[in-house]
Amino acid sequence: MATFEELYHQHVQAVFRFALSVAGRREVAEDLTSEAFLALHRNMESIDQTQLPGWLLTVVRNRARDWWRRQAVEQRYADRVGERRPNVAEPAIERWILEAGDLKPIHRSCVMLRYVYGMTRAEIARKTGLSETQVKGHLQYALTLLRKAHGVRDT
Amino acid sequence: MSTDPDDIDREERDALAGLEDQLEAMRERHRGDPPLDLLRAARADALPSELQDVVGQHLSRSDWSRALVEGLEHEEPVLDSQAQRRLYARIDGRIAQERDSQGFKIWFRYLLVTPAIAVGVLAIWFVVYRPDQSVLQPIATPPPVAAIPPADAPVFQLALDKPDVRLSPAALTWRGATSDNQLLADLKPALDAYRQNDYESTNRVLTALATRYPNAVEVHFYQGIARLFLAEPALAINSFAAAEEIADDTFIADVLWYRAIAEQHAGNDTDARARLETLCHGSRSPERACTALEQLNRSSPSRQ
Repeated sequence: MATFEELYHQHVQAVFRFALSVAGRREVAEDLTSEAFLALHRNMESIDQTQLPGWLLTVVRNRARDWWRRQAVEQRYADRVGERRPNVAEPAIERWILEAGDLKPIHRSCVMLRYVYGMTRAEIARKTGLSETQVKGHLQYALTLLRKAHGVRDT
Repeated sequence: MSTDPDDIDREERDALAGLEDQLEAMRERHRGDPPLDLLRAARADALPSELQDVVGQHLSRSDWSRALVEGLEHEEPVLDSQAQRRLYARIDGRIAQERDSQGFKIWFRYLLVTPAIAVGVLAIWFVVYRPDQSVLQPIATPPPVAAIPPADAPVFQLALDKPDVRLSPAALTWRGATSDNQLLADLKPALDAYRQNDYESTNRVLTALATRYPNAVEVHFYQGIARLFLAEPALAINSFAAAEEIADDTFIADVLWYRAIAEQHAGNDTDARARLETLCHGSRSPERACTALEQLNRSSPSRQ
């Protein structure tokens, strides 16, 4: 039977990754991760260790729900739901982003975040866990493909 | 959603030259999409249930939003070894704190129990070995000493904190005869007054809305809160009773909590205790209710 510290080192990366994906902010992800391991410590005697890390992820998921509830996110989201979706035809570039075979999923997401959602490279890096250099590399690759696909002049 | 980020460089501008209209059209098309963090949380089924339904439905319909979150799932954000150690130290500190607090509780229990045992032993000794017990006149049973607080003792009341404004997914997706969300428009003056602590106006506007929107939990809930702040706990109970009937997962815990406060402020400790017990033993965040239950039991133990 593994000790608490061994279990921590074995599962902390997976738990943190999941926490970051459900909360979107690093400091909150750390809070959720530590809550999950505290719960594990309280239940060390009764828990079946073969159920890890699923058990820990469930704790994170439940705590994340509470966290979202506390953010009163419904209030802010209400403003957006109220907006009517504009009746704008899908431009060709949108279909290209979704379907270009040479684009990997992460390229696609970086392009969306940068050129549609208006994020800086640093913001994308924070959201994705990538370095800014990696983000820049992904964007350059995607833009190269875009230039070829749309016949835009090379620099 | 902003337009171009400030740090866009020449290479990017050149690559996107001629595509500005299409980019603008994309921005326009996705302006009302749920924010990225909500999409990711919904993808992991980590939102409160009603919000999960709304955002989950959007995700299932939108190729775009699905592609956005799927792209991020392939990345592997990590905690470096220093962050891992820091986090472990933090958890370890919390564990130590809990252990200390547990130790204190045991010690405190001893502190309370030991004198009680001593008093008990002394009482038994006094009854059994009292000198000349048989020759003394029968002693009238002393009248029970009622633990009546002095008249000017403060009356215990559960603390009332003001909840932030939030809306249920049912309200967010409410649709009447027109495509506009008239419910949100009608709620706005009441909620604005509530935010400014103008509980008279909140109560007045919501009273008018209660007949028009009998199934909107927000109407009854915030009316109940306003009435509590107006020191009208009996009226607040009426509002919370209506809210209890229709509250969904988003509101039910808060409805029970504030109804418990209203019941207690109205002197109905038993009804308050019943709701606090439900929250203490059945909700996801029971701490507040369990603490209040302890306080209530301490303040009126005879009615437990």
